[in-house]
Amino acid sequence: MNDFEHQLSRQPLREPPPEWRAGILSGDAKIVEPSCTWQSWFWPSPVAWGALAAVWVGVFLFNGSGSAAPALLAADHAPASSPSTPLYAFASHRDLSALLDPSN
Amino acid sequence: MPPDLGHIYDEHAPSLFAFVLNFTRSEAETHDVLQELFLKLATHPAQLTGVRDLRGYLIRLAHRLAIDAFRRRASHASAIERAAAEPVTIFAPAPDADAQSFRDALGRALAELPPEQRAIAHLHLWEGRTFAEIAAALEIPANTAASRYRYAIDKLQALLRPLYEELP
Repeated sequence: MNDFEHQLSRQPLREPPPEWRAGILSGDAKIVEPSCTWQSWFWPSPVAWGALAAVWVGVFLFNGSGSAAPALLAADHAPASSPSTPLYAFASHRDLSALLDPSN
Repeated sequence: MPPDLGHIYDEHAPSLFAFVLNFTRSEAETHDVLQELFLKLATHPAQLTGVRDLRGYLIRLAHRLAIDAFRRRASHASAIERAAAEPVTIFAPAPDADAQSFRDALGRALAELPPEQRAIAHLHLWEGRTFAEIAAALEIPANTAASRYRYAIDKLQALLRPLYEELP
């Protein structure tokens, strides 16, 4: 550094306004809160949360393995009930009775 | 263990304040930059783990945030004009009139430098940082830092020569 640069570097700089300190540092708490909330939800019992997650995974795997699939498939292919269904049943019963009746 | 932000503030905020104020030439933006910086430290305390040169790290963070502030400001042309017109004092009050007029003139001369030259001049003159440290903080090559510093000093010398020669 030459004399000129030394002269410049000797000029003292302004300090930040004292009232800034509290404002700037109190700003921390506002941002820290959300992450604390998230952690406080999960952190007290991580094993319990893990076990619950494992149970759910087991349930999904069991459902997807096919034990419930036939029932769902059958339900999908079952005839939809309609107003004509009782008449159809009645007619079938009458025909069957006629066939079995020895008097005919 | 979370960092003691109060201690970090007391230790480094005066330097960061002067650096950011000199760079942005706006007290409001300087406040916003410092606030954002300390919010980042509060939300991501792990980023300080393993930092050897804390002042250098904070300067780099403050510089990035100040550039972001510049970009935000650039989208508002009227805000640029307002900031340019805003009188900013970066030096402490002087004990006598001659010294005060030199500090005022130095403040005006610094304002005429491009922001990056001003940042380098500030870090070398008032922070005592080497060009290698400045290069690391501002994320530029060390040669660029040295040459920009030379341009800045030449310009300051040209602007301040009459006043500087009058000083005792």
